[in-house]
Order: sequence, then structure tokens, then C-alpha cells
Amino acid sequence: MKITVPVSHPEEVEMLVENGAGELYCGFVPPEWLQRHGGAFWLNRRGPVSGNLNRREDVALVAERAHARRVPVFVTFNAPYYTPEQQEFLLPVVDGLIADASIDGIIVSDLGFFMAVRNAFPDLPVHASSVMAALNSGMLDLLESLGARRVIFPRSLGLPALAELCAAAGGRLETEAFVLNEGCVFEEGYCMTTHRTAGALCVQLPAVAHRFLRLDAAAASPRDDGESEASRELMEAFRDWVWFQNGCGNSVSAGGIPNGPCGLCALHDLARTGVTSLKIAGRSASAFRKLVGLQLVRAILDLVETGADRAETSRKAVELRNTPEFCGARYMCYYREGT
Amino acid sequence: MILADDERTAPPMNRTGTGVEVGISFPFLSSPPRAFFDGESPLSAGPREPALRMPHDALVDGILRRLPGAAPSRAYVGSETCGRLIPPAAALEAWLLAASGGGWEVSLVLPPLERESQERAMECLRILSEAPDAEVVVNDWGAVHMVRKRFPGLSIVLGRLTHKTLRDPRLADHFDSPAAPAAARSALCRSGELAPGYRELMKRYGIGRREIDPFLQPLEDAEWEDRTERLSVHLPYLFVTMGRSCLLGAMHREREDKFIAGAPCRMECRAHAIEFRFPDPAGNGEGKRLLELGNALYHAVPQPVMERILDLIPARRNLDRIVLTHPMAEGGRG
Repeated sequence: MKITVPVSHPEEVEMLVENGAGELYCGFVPPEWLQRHGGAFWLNRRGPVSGNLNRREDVALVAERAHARRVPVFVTFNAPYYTPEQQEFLLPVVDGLIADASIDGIIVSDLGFFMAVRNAFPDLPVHASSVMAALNSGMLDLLESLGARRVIFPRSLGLPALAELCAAAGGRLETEAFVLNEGCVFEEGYCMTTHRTAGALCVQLPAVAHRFLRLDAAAASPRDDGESEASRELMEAFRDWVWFQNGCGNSVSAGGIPNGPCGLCALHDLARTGVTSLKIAGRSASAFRKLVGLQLVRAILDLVETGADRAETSRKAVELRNTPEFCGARYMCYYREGT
Repeated sequence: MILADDERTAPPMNRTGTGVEVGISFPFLSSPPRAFFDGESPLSAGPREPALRMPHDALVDGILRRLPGAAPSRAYVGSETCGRLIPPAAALEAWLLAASGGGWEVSLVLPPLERESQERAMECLRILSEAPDAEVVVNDWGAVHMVRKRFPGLSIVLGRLTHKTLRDPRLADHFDSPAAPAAARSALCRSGELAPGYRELMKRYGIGRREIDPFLQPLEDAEWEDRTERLSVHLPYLFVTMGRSCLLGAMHREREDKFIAGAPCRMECRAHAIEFRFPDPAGNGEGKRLLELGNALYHAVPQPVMERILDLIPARRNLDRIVLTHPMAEGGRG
């Protein structure tokens, strides 16, 4: 399994590759996009500046340095959709990245744009972004028929589903699953909200005034105490879960490890699903945070690859994170059902 | 077709001259509401809960003002967001029987399909494929591929979850702001579905109908007009987001087992909903309300938006179906 690592500056390449990155991915937002859209419509899943490269020369430099170490570089074009005019604008951008930066592939969410890219650049590997929400084998069949190289599975899939889908993809599509950072309270591919300007709706939700409604015949009757208690406990737990999904309030541990969504305990089982790449999220994180996250994943993957069993893998992951209270709460786990 | 109450016995093609059909979506009902099919419960029979009743009444009023005597003629069965609400085979057969007895047609609604729900969905599709004039509303492209491959004769409607356009109620009022750059404004008021690649997909899978949401931002004319497929518009609820980790479904689970995607639940959604009220400093003090129905968040669109969309119907030749969501629960009206 390769570790797929975000990069947002050419200076990060050597550090990340030397520490075990098997693949790199980055975002590229050309100045012309910013002139056209300002900050109102993001080219990819990050804001136009933070976490993105803005010069094609920098993408070329990232690719040159990565290729010198035989590591491929993929570029994200994974907004949920692009209008026809945006697609017309972006196809030459992709062309330029192929010609001038020798990128190894792109990551796409919009199925229509996926078709356009395949038609225009049939030799360019295209990965189906997690935003495409490949939840079933039908989607794998569809993607294969369209010439996809890889499918990146959404965060919400558990280990049994991943195992089934990786088996279904075997030999036809490469597969990638999340292993560290950045949760999503909702299903990313079906979330029609935006994080720009107003912030993440999911993070705000627990703090917003709410009330429970009855849909059944008891609509007019007052809630009994037991039900109210259940409702209160539910919303308290929801508040905590959202906080964990949001990187524990975007915090880091005393050792500098990013808190928040993590699949390390499950890496023993994840490896047995047949998934081919492990994704670390966080293009907009600092170089240090990227490095620490990568070292953490590398350490646990090395352990798995040298034969550690499930219990040992899990124990070591918790030990390295060194936030037992967070791990114990279990709301940080990507693959909670399997640990 | 929109049907006048006194026209129920007329042959389907002669029931109305409007060319507009009204469907009612019952995402939380496991068995058919016979009062609807028997014609005892008119279109205006809405939910009891005031938060749900108000948008329902406003919508029905808007429909009846434009189309006097309108009555529903199509039942939407199943949920667009949760596989646990796909009806068991026997229940779907009961829906089909009850609907046909009342002269209604049936649309089976499928959510994005994951492993837990796929088998049940396929069993329903097998039954549906043998029913005349039935159709399936599909909300993920993987399911589109599966349905077309296994049931090539079945009519596929592309569900609104596949219509990728921003619909964030916190911001949508500003999406067509004249202050926004033209390209951004355009991108926020349309989708990518008119691009050649998407057109190719629609043709490849023979999609003849697509569902569309009651957008708060005014969609550009092309989004309505420049399509070959027919359009169904949902009202009064705008789909906002969904999660496979269900908030309501976590209610009775132990704390550490709450919010696991696809985990078992007690179908709490059949009894409960949650209303969230976001602050809206520029508003009338009511805030912007989001409604957790099942594992998804919706927004009941304000009446002016509803009116604007209903006003589109006569002019948009391909917009010929209204889908009214009725969050009715077991044991009575919602």
C-alpha cells in the first residue's frame, strides 16, 4: 500500500518523500480562475489560496522533484460540479499541466467533467474523487467503463464495505481509502452546502437552537421525560461527535500530531481489504503537520507490513497518538465498527 | 398529470388538460395510506405539526390557485436518503396494489445505494419491473448503471441528489448578488449538466426525466430549458445535505456506538424530526430553519420562492411534474 500525501509547496516534496510518501496530490488554482470567480466558487475542495498552488511552474517543480524520487503527483479538480463554461476554461488548464508539469493524473468529482477529460486526454489517468461517492459496485462498473484509473472511497464506508468494493475493483481499478485527518459529518458527495464565507454548516449545527418535532399521531401531545432525556443525550453526543470530526476543534496533541479522524487502529484490517492507497487529508495544513501525520501513518503501516496483529497495531497507534482520552471516546475513528 | 377530484375515473391521458402531474412522496410510511388512494383524503390533508403544516398549506394553496381541482396521481415510495426505508418486497407489492386501485401510479425512490440496502433495492426493482408504467427514482450514478444493466426496460428518473448545485440556505440569497463576479454568479445559479460530457451520460443511460429542487437562487433559464429530459420539481422542501451517520437513528444507541454510518436503528425518523433555527441577522427574527427529516437536512422554502417556482410551470414546457413531500408517519398524519 502506498501512502498518498497532500503537498502545497515545492519545498515540502523532499521532506514528504523521504518520510514515506508513496504518492503526492496537490491543488492548482490559476490566477485567471481567481479573477473570474473571486472566492465565490472554489476550483477544488480547498479555498483558492490556502492549500493550493497558484503557479503552474510550482506544480512543475513539485512534479520534477517527486519524479526524481519516482513518486507520482496528482492534481485535484474536485469541485462537486463545473458549469460548461468552467469546463471549457479548465480543459486547457489540464492540458498545460500535462505538457508543462508532466503531472501523473488528476482527481475529478464531476462525472460530466470526467467524461470531458477522458475524451480530451485519453492517456491521462483520472481518479474518481471521494466526492463522487462511490458507494456500490455499480459505480465501480460505471467508472471502469469510462476509463477511470482509480476510485477514492468516501469516508463513510466501513471495513466490510471497503473489502467488498476492493474485491469488486480488483484488477480493474486502483483503490484509495482515508486513513488520517478531516472528517465529514455528512456524506461529502451529497452535501450541497459550502464552507466558504459562512463556515461549515455541520460544525455550526450543534450550537444552533433546535427542537424535536413529532411526526406521528402523538404530535399534539407533550414529550414524556424519558424521551426528552434521550433527546438531550443525543444532542450532547452529537455536539461531541461533530467536535471530534472537526479535528477536535482543529487541535494538535502535545507531540504535534493532528487530532481528529483517524483509521490507524484499523490499519491491520484495512490492509486486508486490498485497498491500494491510503489517503492523508489536509492540503492546507502546515508542512510540520503534514510531516507528523505522515510519520505516524508510516510507523503503523511499517508495523502492519512486518506482521503485527490487530491488537498490536491498535495498541501502538493509540500509544503513538498519545491522546488516550480522545481515542477512548471512539468518535475520532474512521473505521469504528472494525476496532 | 394533475387530476381534478371528479376526474378520477377518466382514462389517464384525458384526466387533465394541464399536462402537469402531482406526486406525493411518502418517505416514512411503510404501508400505503389508503385514505389517499381512496380519494378520502384530499391534497390539502397536511401534517399536524405546525412547522410542517405551514409550508404544506402554502404549497397546496399555490397549486390550487393555479390549477383548481388538482389532485395527486402518483405516489413516491421509499426514501431518497436512507436505504433502511426501502420497502420490503411485500410492502412494495401492497403499495402497487393500493395505488393501482386508486388510479395512481408509483415511483420507487432509491437512496444512494450501499451494501446494506442493495439487496432489498434489487428485489424491489424486480417487482417494479413487472408493474406497468412504474418508474424508479435513482439518486446515485452507480445505481443508474446497475438498474440499466439488470432492468433495461425500467424507466429511470434521475433523483435530485444527483443534481449538483449549491443550495446552502445560509447563503443562497446572495448567490445572484450583482456584486458577485459574473462567472461566479452564473456558476452558483446553474449546474454542470448542460456540458457535453454530462449530456453524453444522460443519453448513454436513456434518462428521460430529472428531478430538480426548489432552488432559493434563481436558476438560469438554460438550466430549465436547454435539456431534452422532462423535469419534476420538489416542493416545499429543498434538499440541503445528508449523512450516512444518522442523527435521529443514533437516539437509542449507546454513546460510543452513536453515529456509525449504516448502523442499525429503530427508525426513529418515523416518529421524530428536528428543527434547527440558524440566526439570520438580516431576516425577520425567525431565523433560517433547517429540518432534519430522517438522515437528511431540508429547508422549507419561503412562500415567495414557492410562488416563483410554481409560476414557472406554464412557461417551462418540460417542467411537468410537482412532487410534494409529505413527512407523514405511521399511526396518523405527520
